[in-house]
Amino acid sequence: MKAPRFTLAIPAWILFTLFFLIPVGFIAFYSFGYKPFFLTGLTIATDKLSFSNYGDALSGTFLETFKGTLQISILGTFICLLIGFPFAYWLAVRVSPKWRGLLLGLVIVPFWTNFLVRTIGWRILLAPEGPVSGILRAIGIRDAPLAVLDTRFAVQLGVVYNYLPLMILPLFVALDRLEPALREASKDLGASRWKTMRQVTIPLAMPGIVAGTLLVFIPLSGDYITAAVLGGAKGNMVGRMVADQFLVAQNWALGSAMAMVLIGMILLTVGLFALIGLAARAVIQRNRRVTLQEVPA
Amino acid sequence: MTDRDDENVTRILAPQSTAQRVSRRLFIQGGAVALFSGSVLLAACSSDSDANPSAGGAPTGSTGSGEVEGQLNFYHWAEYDDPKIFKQFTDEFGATTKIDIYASNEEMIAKLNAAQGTAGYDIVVPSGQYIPQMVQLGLLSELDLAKIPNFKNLETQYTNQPWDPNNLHSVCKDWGSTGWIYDTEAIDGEINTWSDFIEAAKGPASGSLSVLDAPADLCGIYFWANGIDWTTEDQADLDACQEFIVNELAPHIKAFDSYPGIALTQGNYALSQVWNGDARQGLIAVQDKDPERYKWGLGAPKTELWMDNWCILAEAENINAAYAWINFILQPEVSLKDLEFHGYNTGIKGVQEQAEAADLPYLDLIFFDEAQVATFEPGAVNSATEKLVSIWDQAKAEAGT
Repeated sequence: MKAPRFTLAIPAWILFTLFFLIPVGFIAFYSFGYKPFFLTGLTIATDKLSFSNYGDALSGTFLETFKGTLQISILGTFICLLIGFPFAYWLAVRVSPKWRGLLLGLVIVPFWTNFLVRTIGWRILLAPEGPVSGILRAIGIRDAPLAVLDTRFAVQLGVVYNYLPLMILPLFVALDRLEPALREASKDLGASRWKTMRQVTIPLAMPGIVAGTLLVFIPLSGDYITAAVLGGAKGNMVGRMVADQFLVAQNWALGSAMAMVLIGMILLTVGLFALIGLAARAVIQRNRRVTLQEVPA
Repeated sequence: MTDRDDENVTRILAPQSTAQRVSRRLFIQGGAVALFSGSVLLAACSSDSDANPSAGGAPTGSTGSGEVEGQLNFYHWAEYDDPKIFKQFTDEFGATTKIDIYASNEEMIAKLNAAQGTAGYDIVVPSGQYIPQMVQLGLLSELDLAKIPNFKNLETQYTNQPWDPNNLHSVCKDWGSTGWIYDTEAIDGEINTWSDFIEAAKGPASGSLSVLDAPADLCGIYFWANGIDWTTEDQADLDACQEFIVNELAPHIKAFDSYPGIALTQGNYALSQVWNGDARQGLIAVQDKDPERYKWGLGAPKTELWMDNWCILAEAENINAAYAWINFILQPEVSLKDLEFHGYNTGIKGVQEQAEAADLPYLDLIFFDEAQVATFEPGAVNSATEKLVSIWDQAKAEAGT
């Protein structure tokens, strides 16, 4: 007797159902509830359901945080791509295989340290009375103490630093698998370096670019440690706002609605960029189509 | 309390003196994060969890409890007891200690309530006005004062409080007030009242202002400045407070920080709303480098009176160790040592004279005279509490825009 084909996937399905689908289902349900008076000892009430939490979550002040988060995560992902691609290319193509392992190891080294500790490192560096501020003042670039901490800029810096390896690794894998012969062929056929990059390397590395972008964008959008440590009041992100609702204000209903809006925001953004990407590809392919003409006899 | 591990990590990034202050404060912030995200930091936040119980060390405390075993888990405010005292407790009694921290009473009650008796803590330190609610929610156990013989060391004015008659659930830890600390390099004039505070917050300190990360204290700025009782339940007052805090004050706020004092070495804020003991810890930290730069002021014309209290949670597992701890810390010499660290009046008989005799720094931030105490108003948990939480919530969102 043969086990059905899906047997191997059962453990993963159980895990997903128990620890993802069911809890998210509860959150979705809670988002229609309301916060009971805190002396009742209840954390959430669902005897009356309404959309009012969504109204609150999308009202003036909270909406600003959603916009800020979207800006931080799109910009952060883009900067990661800008820094990560040349590095991954260099690592996969230019560096001799002897050093490649070591350098790749160095990219992963920060992951051996706790996320929080890494982020706190920035707090020490960027403090108004900290070393960076001291150096800038000593060499005369600034005359006032550095005022970067507790701003959106600090959060932007922090997320790029924290998520960059997640961009580099899939890019490296994609570029590493690319046959050098393809680039050589492109060169032999008369393409310049830039044209080879544009028409051969980048299109073939596209799966890596997409993977890296998603790996960075999605967790970054929900990040709240970076915002909590570096953001102060100005660099708030939705993740932190949701955590505050659950843990501090104890408004599980509003927190749930915010979480659902965050999920929706991420899906919409990813969907939108996917559409743009597909459209761009269609246009490029049409313009670049090579029409083989019959060789006249 | 957040020693050892994080010190080692941060030592390589900053000078030792900075590293100590910086890392503590950051782990305080991080602590809240860590609690939620699977307690990645429990090790770093714990105190002396690696210290071995002194095998066979005879207990020297004046208690009959003798040795207690296991680990005593605190849910506590940050930087609130001298780490050496935890060590001493472990040496004398054998039980190790571990501390998780919170930034406001609301946060603490929310988390304990949400965990429904599974949070795993033995001792908690709520402010007095929250105790009736915690009792009502079934969070606190009843105390057997016979197990705390050193209870007699407390001045009677700090026992038998209206929110806990006969100390059925709590024993005074210490009490204090709220004021501000400001950077004289950034702010020219003197700040003598909450109105001055607000003026500076909107002027030279705009964008580098920190306020306490606690709803009632935040709203207190408005009430105290305008001569309104900060326990008001009047809807018009509350609406006016909301209008002021959310629309007028919040845009100037840089951070909601319950411990700006211990972050003073980083020079992050020009003006901070701060509890007196925390302000003192900060002034001590910067006194070698910049003794004149930062100035403390006690809130005026009115300000807060709070009392924090040792309570044993209903869910406590290590009850003997919890009693041993409370009795231990009520000893005059231990209490004095603790006061020297945290800078709040512990209410133990004779502690002020001893502190004066020991010539501790910044005594005026610990002990207040009668004229000052007359301006202190105790807080309340009432029908307005929900509204204050909501104001604070909106202020946080507004400050981020």
